[in-house]
Parts: sequence; structure tokens; C-alpha cells
Amino acid sequence: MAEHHAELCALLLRESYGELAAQVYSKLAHVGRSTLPTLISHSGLPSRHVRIIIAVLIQQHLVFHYTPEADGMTFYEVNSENAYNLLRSGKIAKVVADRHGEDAAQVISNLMQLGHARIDDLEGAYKLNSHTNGVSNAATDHVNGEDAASGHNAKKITSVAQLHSVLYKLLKAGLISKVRKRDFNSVADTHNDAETIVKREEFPDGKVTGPKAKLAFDSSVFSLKRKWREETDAWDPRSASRGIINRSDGRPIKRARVNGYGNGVGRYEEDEGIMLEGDMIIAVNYEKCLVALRSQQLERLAARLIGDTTAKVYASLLILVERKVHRCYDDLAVYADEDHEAESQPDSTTLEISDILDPRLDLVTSIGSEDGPDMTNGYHSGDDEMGDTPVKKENVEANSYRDRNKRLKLIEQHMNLLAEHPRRFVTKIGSLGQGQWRVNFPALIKGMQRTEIETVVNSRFGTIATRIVRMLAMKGKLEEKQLANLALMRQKDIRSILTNMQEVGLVDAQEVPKDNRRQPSGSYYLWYFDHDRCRQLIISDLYKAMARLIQRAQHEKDQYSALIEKAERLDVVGHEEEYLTANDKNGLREWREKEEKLLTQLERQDDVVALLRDFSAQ
Amino acid sequence: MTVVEDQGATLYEKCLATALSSPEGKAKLFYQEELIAFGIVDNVADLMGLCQGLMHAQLLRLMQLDNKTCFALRTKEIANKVVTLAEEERMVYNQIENTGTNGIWQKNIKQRTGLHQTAITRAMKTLETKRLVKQIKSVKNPAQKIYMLSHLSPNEDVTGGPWFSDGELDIELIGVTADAVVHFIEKQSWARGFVKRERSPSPGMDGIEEAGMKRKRTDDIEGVHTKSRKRHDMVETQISFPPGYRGYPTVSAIHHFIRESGFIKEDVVLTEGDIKGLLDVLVFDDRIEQIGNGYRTVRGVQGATEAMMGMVHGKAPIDMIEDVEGNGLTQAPCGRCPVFNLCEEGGPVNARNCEYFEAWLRA
Ligand code: SF4
Repeated sequence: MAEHHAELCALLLRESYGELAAQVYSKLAHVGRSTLPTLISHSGLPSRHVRIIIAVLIQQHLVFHYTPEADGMTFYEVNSENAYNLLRSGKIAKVVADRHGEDAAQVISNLMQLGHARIDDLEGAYKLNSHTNGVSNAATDHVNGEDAASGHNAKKITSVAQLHSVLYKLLKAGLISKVRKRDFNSVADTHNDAETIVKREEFPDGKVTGPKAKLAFDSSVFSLKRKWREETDAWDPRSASRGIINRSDGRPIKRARVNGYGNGVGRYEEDEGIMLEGDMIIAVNYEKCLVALRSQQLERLAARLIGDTTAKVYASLLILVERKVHRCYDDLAVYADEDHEAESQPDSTTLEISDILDPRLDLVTSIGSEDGPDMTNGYHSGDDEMGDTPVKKENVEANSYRDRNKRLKLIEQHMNLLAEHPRRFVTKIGSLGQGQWRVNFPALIKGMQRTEIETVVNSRFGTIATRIVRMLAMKGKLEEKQLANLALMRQKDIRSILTNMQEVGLVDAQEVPKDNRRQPSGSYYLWYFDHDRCRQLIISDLYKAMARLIQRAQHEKDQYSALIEKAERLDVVGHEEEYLTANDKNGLREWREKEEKLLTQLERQDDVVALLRDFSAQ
Repeated sequence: MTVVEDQGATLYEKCLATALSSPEGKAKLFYQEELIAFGIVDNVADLMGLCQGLMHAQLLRLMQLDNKTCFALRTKEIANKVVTLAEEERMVYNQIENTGTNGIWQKNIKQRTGLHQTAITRAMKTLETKRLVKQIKSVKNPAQKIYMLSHLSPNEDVTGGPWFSDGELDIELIGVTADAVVHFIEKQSWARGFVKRERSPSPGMDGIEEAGMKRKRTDDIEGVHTKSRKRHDMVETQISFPPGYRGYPTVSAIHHFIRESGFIKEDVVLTEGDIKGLLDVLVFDDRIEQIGNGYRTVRGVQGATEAMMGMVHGKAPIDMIEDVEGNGLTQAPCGRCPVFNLCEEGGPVNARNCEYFEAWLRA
């Protein structure tokens, strides 16, 4: 696993930062946490190069550095999570564009390229008010899946006010965050820090002896780490405001909705005109971006299993609950049991959903008639269309309430569809706000992970194997005979399927001796399915497969390199018709299609990685 | 007909009528008290006389249950045949009859009658030609012959349940029944509806408008009713019934459907537990899902899995890799690659010289 991950990350680094950076990264990943001299001697590269590269990688948050208080030696360690994140930048930009507009997507893309930036520097980079538009896109390589051309008509950042307003919006959504010193330290370093502090403050003699002291020590370290996290999470972007500026274009500040749907929860409430502190350093908050990606995958699943409209209602709920969490799962949270964890999941209400749901969404025709399959849908008549029949003036207000209540009822119906689905997309926990809905993420994600594992099982061993895996996952350990009975299969037919799957580790068997002679003949075998083990196996395969996709993309590019160089020549750009032959154009199209296919696949594989690795606790 | 014969006939008819309206049916056992209660005779001695007569005619047989004497009925048709049997044949017949729907092994007949093997073989031949007994296969011991009365259906311990034929799991029967059940459920699972699918923008479309459409969520809502130009097609799709809908088929509705559709032979017992077992398999196969107090098909599903249907046509289950949508891994060449473990950069098999990629990119 680690080896495939390192291979993949090195490839990603090479795409973005060149061969040398990839080499240094690989070496550091290989030797592990080490000092600069150690790294240099291992790398076999000129020390000057290594130093420069390490500096770049630190700026990009691809390498952690840490200087223990005791001696002044600095240790370096790869930030493999962020290295992997290079691959995700296109996907993150897309979700940001969908939710916050193209200008926000542009800002977040730029931030991903820069690693981190001071607000003032960012302002400078956009060269605002001059005529060049935005920062250079040169580093946006194809791995990011960012097609520069697709944004040619998009809203660009054109003024300081706009930049600040976008940044503030992203800060509030948590998609970017203020960088702290600790962000440059690895998890292990942070842990060590906490241990050092606890030792110094609570165990002045420096000794933690005996189980009781050890317990107290561990719990103090844990609490301290929690405290640090809570401090970070509690940070309010408003505290970084240095005042309000007037919009330079003189347009009035947009008001919240006025048609009775909104009550100040609109998108444009107070973002406008905020000016952020110039020396604050910001970076992309990948943890929170993952939350958005998780919502996307859940929405997609609901669309497939229930329908597009219900999924859109669900997406609104997910956006609301996103506001209440900082990350997909909290590894520093302590839950008494599964139920407690479920109860701690975020919720929101029908009323809040109606505030942010696209009012144009047709909620009626997407639910069938109560009367069953043979009836035509009676709902879709004119009486639901507002303003179809002339209305008396005094009725207008009553009507607007009536319409609003009708819509709330419809939203509630869609929520109930989500609640009654066997996946339990939501759980109703109260009737506050016309229905209060909780999303039990741990259970949902586990179910989706299993679906993903089953998909892999299905593609390798067929549907009967999938049936067996599902049975084992739901029923626990089973003997071959019980399995056959439950699966309505002959024992001899499932035996080979079981052993084939066992060979690759997707299922396993436990030997249970019938007596204490413990002879193999006197034993029976209980088959079982290990969810986490399967996850790890598939993640490892994914890393390897992704590396192959990138290598192949590189190979294809090499094949067409002469052509690509020609098309990128300065005299050719803009004069393609003159300089490129029909053959040239065909070749280029061929290459683009191949590249597109490879990169689409890469993104889809990353979806699986996100689901299996990032959406739940390891 | 003598009075006694007449009374005997009445007793038999009464018993038969009582048995047929009882939950046990023809297999009902009668104790002395019940027979007296019919009121045909008023004392035990007379009753025993009547029973004696019926036993002689082979219409009634004596049994012991929990140390109490009781009687079991035979139909006239069978009784007529049994009357004609020779002594040894009748002994064998009785042993087989006593084991009811469990059946009996030949070696047990031998033990219990004390007859010689040749005598048993001979008796058995007669009984089989007279169609009084039959051979069946047991799931527990397919190699051993077991015997049972012809008109009985072996019970589930012997047959393995409704999905077995001749002691073997009937994959074909399961496959076709499952497929029919999925279709049956499917018809009642989803309403037909039409949804708008945005048209993919035509090549000549103005880029600005295109971007504007993408951003519609953040647009002002004042624009709601103004965009009436048609940019979408209506596509037929499965839409959900309202929450709490009660029209989804239940286990008993599905039970009824299977019974009525004639997949399972009339005389085979089909319990709701059997149906539940089949439905569980379909849930495991992601064909159907439990909803409310019934079942509906998973959205988009049309029938049983290909593997199930394949096995109906004699294919091995392992051959059937479903061509379902899959995910990013399973659709990529590496996700299905036979030399995945050998493949490495710089090695003899690698992404650059890979034929699977070549084919996949061309596809
Ligand atoms: S690159 Fe080709 S050979 Fe290597 S794992 Fe992928 S499909 Fe197999």
C-alpha cells in the first residue's frame, strides 16, 4: 500500500513541480522523517538542489517540518495526504464553482497551486485594476483536470472588493482557512508536542510510571489535542475583518430574498464589502472540501436510488448540515457506542431546507400518485402553478402563505422518501421546523463503502460472489453449508467462489476445531467478511491503478509530443487554421480524447478512494 | 348389509369427514374417546367390534402413540389394494406407511420386519407395481434409496424444501421463479413519470448563456418564471410513490403470486419462510429492497441477475461476471488486469507497453 501510494504521489509531484521535486519527495518518503543532512546524503543529489526543493515543498504544504524545542535540529517529513490532494484540485474547483460561482473556483484553484498565501500577496498576484486577468495559469497542468478554456467566459476576479468578498465567503464555508504554525507539523509532531507539554506541566519529574499515571497522561494528551482542535475550529472569520469597504463598482449590496421564502439566510447577506486582514495567511482546507465531496457522492446515490428531485432536496439538507461540521469524521471525538455516535450527527429542518432550495425545482411531478401504478399522475394539473387563475388582491398574501406551506409539505414528502429508503438517507428526529432531519453519516458511509467493495467483487468474481459477500457482511460468520442454504446455492458451486475470493483476501475462513484433538479433518470453517481489510486492499489497488493511468497519460503525451509542441508554439496559437494541417488537427483531437478518457477515469478512481479512505474513520 | 357392517361404514364416513375438515387432513389420528363421541355405539366393546371390521377391510389401522392406542384412516382405494397383499408384502407396506412423509431406508425395513432381503425385494417389487409405494431421493443421503407411500409427498427434511427436485437443489427452478418474482414486484414498485433532462448544449450555443445556466443556483430568484425557452427533453423514468405508500407487494402477496403462477408443483409445500428465503437472496443480489411492510425493486432493476439466469441455462456461476456499471476501478483496464500484480514501471509489463490500455483507449 505505502509503496503504491508513494509511487502515485511522486508521479503527481512530477506533473506539477518537475522531476527533481518528485525525486526529493520520493527519497524523503522512503527514508521517512529525517533531518536535511540525512536526506541529502540519501538523495545523492546536490545539497543546494535539495534545499531549494524542500523550501518549495514546504510552501506547497507537501513537506512537514518540525523543530523540537530541546535541540535545534529540524526534521522533515512528507505530507502524503496533501501530495495526494494534488490530484483532487480539479474536483474541488468544480464543487466550489457549483456552489459559490466561477470566481470562487478561480480563487481556490489559485490557492491550491500556491500552497498558502498572504491575503496581500494574493491581491498582488491578481494584479487587480491593471488589465491582466488573474494569476498565471501555467502550473495548471492536466492532472488537475482543469481545462483553462472552459472558464473563458466565467466571472473573473476583477476587483479587490470582489476578491475579499469571495475569500470571506470561502472562509465562512470553511473551504479555506487561516494557516497556523501547527499546520506545518505532522500529526505525529503535534502529538509529540502535546506529550512534551503535558509532561512538563503535569509530570514535572518527567516520569510517567505505573498504569494509573500512564492513563492520566494519555487522557491529558488527548484533552490537549482536543483543545487545540477546538480552538482552531472555533475561529470565526469575522474576527479577521478589518472593516467594510464600499463596492468599487458602486452597485448596491444585494439584499436577502424578499418573496417570503427567505428570512435572511440568503447567500448574499453580509459577505459584500468585507475587507480581510492583509497579513493573514490562508490555505485550502482540504478536510472541509472533503465534506463537500461527501455530500456530492451522497446526492448522487440518492439520485440513482430515488430520483433527481429528491436528491436535490437532499443536497440542500447536506449543505445545511455541512455548516455544522468541520470534517467528515472527528478522530478526536469519543463516543460511548454506535448509537451515541449516530445521535451526535448533525441535523437540520424542513424549514431551513426550504430557505435554500432552488424555488424553481418542481417538487410535485417527481412523486407518483398514491393510487398505484395504473393511475396517471393526477398531481400535475394547473392548480399548482402559481398565478394560473386570476386572484383577488386580498387573497395574494394568503395565497403566498398557502403556497409556502404547500411547498413545505412537499419538501417533507421528499424527506420522508429519503427516510424510508433502506439506506436511511435521513432519520426524522423531531417535528421542529416542520420536521427535523439527521444524517447518520457513519452508517451511510459504511453502506456505501460496502457497495463499492461489492462492485469490485462483482467485477472479479460475479454476482454470486457478491451475494455471498453481502450475506457474510450482514449475518456475520457462517459455515459453508449455512451459506449455501441461505444463498440457495449448491455447496459445491459456492466452494470454488469462496476459495477464489479467499486467495485474494476478500473473504477469509476461521478454523474451529470440533474437539480438542484439533485435527484438520475434525474442524469446520467459519467464513467471514472483513470490511476494513477489504477497504485497505482496494485502496491499495486503486493507488496502483491511478499511477498506471498517469503513466499511460504521460506515455500518450510523449507519443504526440511533436504535435503538441507545434500547437503550443507562439506563432501557431491563435492561427491554428493557417498552420495546422487536417492531419495535425486529427492527431491533436485523438490525443485529447485519450487524455480525457484517462483523466476521467482517474477522477472516478479518486471518488472511490475518497469514499473508502477519507469519508470515515480508518 | 348387516347392522354392524352398516355401523362400521357410518363410523368410517364420520371419521373421514372429521379428518378432512381437521388441520391434519387425512393424516389425522383418532383416539377411542373421539370415536365413541360420534355416538354410533355406546360402549367400548361394540366400538372395538366395529374397528375390528374396518381394520380387516384395511380401512383402519391400529397405531400406538405415547402408549395410547389410536387409529389412522386409509382411503378406500388404497384399502382395496392392501387387502389383496400377501402377508410379507403387507408387513413391508406397514413399515413404510408408519414412517409417513419421512420415508424409510430398505435396511430399516429389514431390521423392523425381520424378513430376509430376497423377501423384501420381492415384496417391494409388488408394492411398486401396484403403485402403493415409491422410491425417492433424500437431500441428506442422495445415494441411499428411501421408500414412501405413493400418494404422499416427501416432507421438507427429505426433499430439502420447495427448491429441490429429486434431492437436488433445482437451480433452474430458483432462477425462473426469482426472475418472475422480480418482474412481479417491479410492476408495482415505481410510478411512471417524466423528468426534464437538460439538453446538452448545441454546438452553436452562446457560451455566456451556457455559463449562466450552470450557475442558476446562485442566480436571483426573480428570474424564475422568465426562462421559459425549452432547453430540456422529457424523459420517462421511474418515480417514487409517496412516502408511506402501502401498495408494495408483501410476502404474502408474493407467496400468492408464486402459488398461482404454477412454478412450484401443486403438492409441494411452500411456506412463507421459503418465500422469505428467496426474497432475502434477491435483496442480497440488489434486485429488490424492503420498503414499508413490502418489497420494491431497486430503481432501474428489471429482473434476476445474469448469473441466476445464466445458471438456468447451465452455465457455471463463476463464469457470470455481470456487466454492470461498475466504478472507476472496475472499468479501468488495470481493475480487471490479469497481470496487475506483475505490472510495474520499468518492468517487462508496464503502463507504456500495455495492450489492455491500447484496446481500452481505442474502444
Ligand atoms: S497498465 Fe496494463 S498491464 Fe499494467 S496493470 Fe494496468 S492493465 Fe495491467
